[in-house]
Amino acid sequence: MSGKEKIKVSGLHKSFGSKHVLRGVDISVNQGESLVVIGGSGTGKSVLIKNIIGIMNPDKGSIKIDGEETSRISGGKRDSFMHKFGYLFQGGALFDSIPIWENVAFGLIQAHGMERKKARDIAIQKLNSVGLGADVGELFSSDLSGGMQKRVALARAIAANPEIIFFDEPTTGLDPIMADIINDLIVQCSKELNATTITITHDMASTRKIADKVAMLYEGKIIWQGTKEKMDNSGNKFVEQFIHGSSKGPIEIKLQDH
Amino acid sequence: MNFLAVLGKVFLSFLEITGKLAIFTANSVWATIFPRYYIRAILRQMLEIGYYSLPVVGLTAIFTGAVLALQSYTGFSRFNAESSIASVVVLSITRELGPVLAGLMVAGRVGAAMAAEIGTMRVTEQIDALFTLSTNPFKYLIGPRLIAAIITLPLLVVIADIIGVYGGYLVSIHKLGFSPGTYLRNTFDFLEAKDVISGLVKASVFGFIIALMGCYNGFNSRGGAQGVGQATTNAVVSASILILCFNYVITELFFAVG
Repeated sequence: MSGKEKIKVSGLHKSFGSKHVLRGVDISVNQGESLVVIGGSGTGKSVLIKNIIGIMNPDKGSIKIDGEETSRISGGKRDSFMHKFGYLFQGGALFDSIPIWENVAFGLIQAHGMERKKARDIAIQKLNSVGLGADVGELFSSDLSGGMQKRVALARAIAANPEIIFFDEPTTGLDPIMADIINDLIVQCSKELNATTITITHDMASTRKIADKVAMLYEGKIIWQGTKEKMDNSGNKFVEQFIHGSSKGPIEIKLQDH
Repeated sequence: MNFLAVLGKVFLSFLEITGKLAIFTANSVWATIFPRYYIRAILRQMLEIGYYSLPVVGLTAIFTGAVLALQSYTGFSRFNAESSIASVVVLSITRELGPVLAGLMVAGRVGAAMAAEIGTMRVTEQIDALFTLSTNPFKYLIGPRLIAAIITLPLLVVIADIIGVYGGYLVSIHKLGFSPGTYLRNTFDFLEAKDVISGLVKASVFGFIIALMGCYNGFNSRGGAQGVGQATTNAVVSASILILCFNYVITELFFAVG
């Protein structure tokens, strides 16, 4: 790790109508570092990374990538920043109207203007690197299992060798063995690219495997952050309850009466 | 007081929808006019909208022309005006029934499909995925559909005009006993370029409306299957109503009396 600050988020706020989802989030990630943001369902983890990448616009606060403010940029400048990013969506978000190889090569062809044949060769290479053969490239996303779709989505996220990769719940919906395979692939691909990564998850096995640093999001704020080694002795009741998956503790799950 | 509150709420909601649609239309037109153009996507949409709609539009046109000849005969024979049947058929088809019926049929077939496809892409995060791959969804998804619909609807209407007139011809010759030469002479004697051109202008405008409503409703769909279903219904209903409204406006512009 070089220690250079790659991503810095300060005082980030985001609301949807009367629902105040993010209430002043502060995080920073260094070059080559892997930050895992943990937190319960509906705490705003996805909203946080969608604001950082620019799918959503924050109401207030600052997002800096390589020291440059990106929260209000658009057009060509936004495009040049998008080239730095890769994103693995929770459900894969593969395009079902085009074959798998074209899904993986999509960014290379459309955004980088690469010739289709060359982009196809790179796509097959990337599919190989996530353990899928060239024959899979000819299939469509509806022909693949959930685990295979996640691998293809990972291949697409790393296809253009991004500097920063976001992983949105990478192991959700997978069996423990496939989840572990995906975790290993994430670690391996990130190391190979020397990429800075932000992962959001509530899977603690995944957190322990992927993270250099862990941050916990609760009620729209980061309530604890530190290295993964310190997570088990954080002294924070919220973190302790979450990592042990206990129903007893300060985090109350509101169950609505009908 | 309650009544005023409800009225105000409805009015504000109307303004919100109008504003959203206006912004969406402006973004779509901008994306359609200025490069980059996705030629493959445009050709695929032209095939989808034009070629695959031929059977339904052709069948509608032939039966409409046939029934028009039959109805005109039963009415006109009461005051010995049978010789006007050919003119009535050709003018009704080229000015009104060709574009309107083709528009409504394509709205049902293509508008619904566009809303369902884009709606599904929205709820499965495929549109967000386009953004993360540095691809403008307006240029990649909406521009090609608008261009294809504006070009192919007039082509469909030319074919519908020919088939519709032929439907009238078949009934008039084989059932009503008209002479082919006289019928064809009566058809073309009263037909002016303006009659056909007004129909083609209508077709282009209807193509724009169908694609815009399909894309708008799909793009803004929320939730899961129910949201996509609602978007599909809204796309067809709104496109059909707008087609009928604009049909009147364009007729008024071309054939204003007085």
